[in-house]
Parts: sequence; structure tokens; C-alpha cells
Amino acid sequence: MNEFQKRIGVGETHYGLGRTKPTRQRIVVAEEGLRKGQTGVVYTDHSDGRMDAKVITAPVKAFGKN
Amino acid sequence: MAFPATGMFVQTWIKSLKASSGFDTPLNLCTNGAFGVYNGCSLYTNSVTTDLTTNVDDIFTAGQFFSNEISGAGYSTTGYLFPSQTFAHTSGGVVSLTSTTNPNWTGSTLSNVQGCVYWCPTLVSTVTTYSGILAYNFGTAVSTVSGTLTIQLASSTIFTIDLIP
Repeated sequence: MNEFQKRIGVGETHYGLGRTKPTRQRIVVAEEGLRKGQTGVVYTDHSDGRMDAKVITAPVKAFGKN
Repeated sequence: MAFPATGMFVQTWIKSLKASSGFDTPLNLCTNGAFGVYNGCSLYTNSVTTDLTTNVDDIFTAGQFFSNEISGAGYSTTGYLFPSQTFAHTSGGVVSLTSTTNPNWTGSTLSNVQGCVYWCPTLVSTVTTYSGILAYNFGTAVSTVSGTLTIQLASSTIFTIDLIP
């Protein structure tokens, strides 16, 4: 290894700052009800710990078969 | 029992549709702000034990829904108030209750939310009451952490009535 390589730290562990994905989404399937077996809730997990929930609904058909 | 399967509050509709009903006025499905109260959507746990065939006149005074409304940061009793709704014929004899906004609770920390009730105000013996219209079972328990809970209406529609099936 030459002097230049030693100076820049060749072979040593380097820590770099990188941008992580701020959010991720996950889907929970409805276990019962009008949307049984389909997407029930879409959660958004934020890197700061917050969690949003979007409930996916179906229009209810009153006086008829849903 | 647990939160009931999605369905209409039977007694409320009977009262509304019968000539000699228990209501002094019809259900205010399309009149927002009646008696100073808007139509709304409230949230409940899975501890509700009713099958919707018998219900009290006011879901915020007594009964299973009164006892099992959720609580938590970002949520107030009676829930979300709709700025506007429309109850009108859409097509082919189908009448729909629609809303341009989705019920939502921002900055909320809620847990074990199993379903919601859409309600509207009416009068019983000249007293404003909150009558349940429709109970919707989410099909799974829902939670938030300092976040927004949104009920995404399909095509802005809460329910439909097919009068020409």
C-alpha cells in the first residue's frame, strides 16, 4: 500500500451519510366484512416514528346484497 | 359478540320511513347543520355487542356504541363532522349518500379501531338526538401513531339504496 492509499484509508471502514427512504407502506388484508380478502388498511410508516392508516371501504348497498 | 357486520340501523330507518315515526323530523341525510349539528362519523372498538336490530335513539347517550366509542389523541367524542353531504338519485333508481371529503383524524394516536358509525341529527320529542345510520366494520383493527387515520370512501359514496332493483 502506498502513502496515498494510506492517507485516504484504503481497506479501512468508511461511514458515509446516505439518504434513507422516508416512508414505507404496508398493506393489511381485511379478515372479515365487505372487503374480506382484499386490502383493508394501507399503513404508512414514517422514519420519525409516525404511522398513518388509510382504511379502504366499499359503498354499502342498503336493501340489497353487498 | 363484537363490532357488528356492516349494516344499517334497523330501528332508525323504520322510524324515518314510517308515517308515525319516533322522530319529530325525518333523518337529515342531506341537510347539514340542522339544529346546529352536522352529520358525522364516529369510531368504535370491537367490544360493541349489538346486531343493529335494536338501537337507542341517541348513540352518544346510551347503549353499546356509547360505551365503546374509542378515545385517544386527536379524537373527540362524536368523531368527524362532514362539511357537506349529498343524498340524491345517481342513476338507474339508485339513491346514494356521498361526501366530497373522507372522514379523517390528523395527529392521532389511536388503537383497536374496528369500525365506524355514520350518524345524523334528528329530533325526538323536540330534543336533538344523534341517530345511527350505518355501522361499517373495517374487517381488521386499525391503529395510528401521531398520524392520520383516513376512511377512504369508494367513489365518495357512503351507501346506496337501489329503489329499482
